[in-house]
Amino acid sequence: MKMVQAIIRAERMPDLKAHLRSIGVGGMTVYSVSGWSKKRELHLQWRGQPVSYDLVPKTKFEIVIPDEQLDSVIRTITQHARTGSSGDHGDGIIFVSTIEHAINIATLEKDEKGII
Amino acid sequence: MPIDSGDTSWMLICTGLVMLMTPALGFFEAGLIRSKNSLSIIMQTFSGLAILSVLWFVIGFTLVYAPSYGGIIGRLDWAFFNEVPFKTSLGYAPTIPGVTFGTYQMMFAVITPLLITGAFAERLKWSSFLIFIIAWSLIVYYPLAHWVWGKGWLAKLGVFDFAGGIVIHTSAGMGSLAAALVLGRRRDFGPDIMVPHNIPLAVLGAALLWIGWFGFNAGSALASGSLAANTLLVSHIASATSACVWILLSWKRSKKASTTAVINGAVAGLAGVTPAAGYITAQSSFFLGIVLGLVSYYAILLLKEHWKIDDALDVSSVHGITGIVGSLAIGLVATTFVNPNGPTGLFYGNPMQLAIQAVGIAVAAILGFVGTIVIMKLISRTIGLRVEEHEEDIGLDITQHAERAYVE
Repeated sequence: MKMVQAIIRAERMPDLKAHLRSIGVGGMTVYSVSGWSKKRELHLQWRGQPVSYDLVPKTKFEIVIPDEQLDSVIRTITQHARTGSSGDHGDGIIFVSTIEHAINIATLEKDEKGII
Repeated sequence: MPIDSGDTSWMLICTGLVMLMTPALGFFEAGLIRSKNSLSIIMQTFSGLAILSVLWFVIGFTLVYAPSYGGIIGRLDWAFFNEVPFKTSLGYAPTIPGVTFGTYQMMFAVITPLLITGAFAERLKWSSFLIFIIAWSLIVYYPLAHWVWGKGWLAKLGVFDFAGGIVIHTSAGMGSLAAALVLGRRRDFGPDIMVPHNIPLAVLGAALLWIGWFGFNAGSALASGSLAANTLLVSHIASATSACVWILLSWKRSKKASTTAVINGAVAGLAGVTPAAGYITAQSSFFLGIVLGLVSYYAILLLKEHWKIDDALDVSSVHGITGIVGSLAIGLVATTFVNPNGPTGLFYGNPMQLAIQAVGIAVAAILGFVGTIVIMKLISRTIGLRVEEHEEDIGLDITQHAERAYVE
């Protein structure tokens, strides 16, 4: 099993969520987060004065999937979280890690049976 | 007639109550849409309060209420409130200062175009909004208000509209329908985007609208006293009855009584009773409230669910359809027992009033609908109406105003 964590643009989430569901991802946890990286800033205003913030609001999500789903999941995320066809700074990042166990609390099913 | 201190006190309070309705409308609407657009609609209503107040001061009041050019539009005598007296009254309201009448009516001129913000919510450019409300005031509201309330040709025909069911709710309601049609649906139109992000804020807005409406309707008596007292009761009963209908209908449909339904029902009742509030008995209002609750609820199902017209906050149903029903109700249940200066309806022996009301409603509906289409098409061909798709995804708060409603 793999856990895929991704930090993406918040406005891409509705579209991406629908596509992940359509390729058979069984569940998802979503967070609203904010963070900084490299030179990206959020340019807003305060009473008509321009202000820049280094913490930019983002959406982070986690999904746990069987190993064989990893390629299609990565492909779906990179395709639908991207700005245009070539991408842009701020489109986000994906982390993949290995999961040892999963236990469904209600059914007590374990590992891959527990996450579908 | 001399200035009456009791009447003046009441009308100054009513002016404040109606002023409060515009920011209240903003809270009501903001709570019912997604958080990423919530500031944009608060900005539209609050800035509209400022912009349309200035427009009314400069040109609006004189176009609506100054002596008429042939019943079509007012002369320019009172531009910038010049020669509007504060030590004496105007003929419209003989016991209160002229400026109090002008300021009270200013609050109506402010909120009317801003009702349409509910229809074009979450997708209209700020710059287009600004041009729209000014053009709509000049082309739709000022002429129509003059025709009905400024001794214009509809008033001469015998059309009655106590506090604005024809002038305000029919015109803005049909304008909202037109705006939704010209603008098109929001991206991904469907249940996923109809997420009320802060229901307590919407309830606060509805509560402030409800109390503000006492000033709106009972204040339209333009004096304190028995007519204002009856009008307040009539307004409250229609609102409460319509809200009860919405509680039952939402309970029946989704098996749970709904908070967002009860506040919509209350507003629908208030909008619908507005034209008739000063002409009918509280007993008639009880039945009118039931009808208003039913027609507004089912109009939304027809327009939004069946025809998929994206009037985001259902202004065409909650204000437009109810405004039409309430204005027709004058032709049925108005009685001079309530208001000796008002009309008599069918049930009290005057069938003609119903036809006269229908003419007034038709004129307001056509002017509101066609006027809105013309204005929006002109804006569309010049600076454009909608934000870019990616801006709509990010939200209007950041893309139009560089501000956020909430920071985690």
